Amino acid sequence: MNNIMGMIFIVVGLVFDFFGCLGLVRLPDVYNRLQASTKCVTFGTCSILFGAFLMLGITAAGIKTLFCIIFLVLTAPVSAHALARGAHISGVKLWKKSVVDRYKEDKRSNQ
Amino acid sequence: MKARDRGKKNPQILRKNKRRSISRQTIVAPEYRRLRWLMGTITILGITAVVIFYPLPSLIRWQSSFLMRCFFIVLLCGAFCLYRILRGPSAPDRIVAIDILGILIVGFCAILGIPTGRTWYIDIGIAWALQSFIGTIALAKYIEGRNFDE
Repeated sequence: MNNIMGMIFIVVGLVFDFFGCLGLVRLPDVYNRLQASTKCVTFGTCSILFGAFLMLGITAAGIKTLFCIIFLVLTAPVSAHALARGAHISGVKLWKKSVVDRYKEDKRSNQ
Repeated sequence: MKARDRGKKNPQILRKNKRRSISRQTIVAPEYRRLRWLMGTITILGITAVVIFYPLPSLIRWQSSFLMRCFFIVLLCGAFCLYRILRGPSAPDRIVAIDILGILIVGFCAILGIPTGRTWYIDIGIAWALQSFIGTIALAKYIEGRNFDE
């Protein structure tokens, strides 16, 4: 039973990973790619790790996977936000068809 | 004096560089754009179907072929990330791809640790997540420091 549940979690995680990387290849802009890939791949990897925890059971390695999940959930959004801010400040332009740029408006209103 | 003059940025040279950077992006006629999109979609779908249904002959006899197929799908995602690292038009694209590759490798190590029975692969995963986080933060700071247009 635990094995089958672990396999289901691993398959869900693989699907999320695959679509995140597909977004990394196909989307037109830095920000679109960041938004598509970071969330999807973080959730997919967390799901894979939880499946590995279910398959390994409560052993030393299984509890390490739980710690790894907590660490990933805390750190991946932070690095994504830092990257988006750095890209915007370094002057990477938005896609032609993108609608709104709140960060630029905030900068102008602060000045 | 001459060295100083060289140090100053000549406006003509700057303009040339700008033109070059614009022309570097591939400008495609709108009639061929849909064809290119279709070709890319068919290529990606074909590679995915091959990886899922006909994985490479296994060199290692693992307990189940299920985990080996998972393994190959994660490798395919890593190949997508490597494509974006090779052909990213700007520096932040490459850094995003490196960040995603670092997160993927954690899951890769977790999958690798189950059938082989070597649980220290998960330790490698934790260490890799830490290193990837610190590296991404450092690279983001480095990008933020220099201004291209101001």
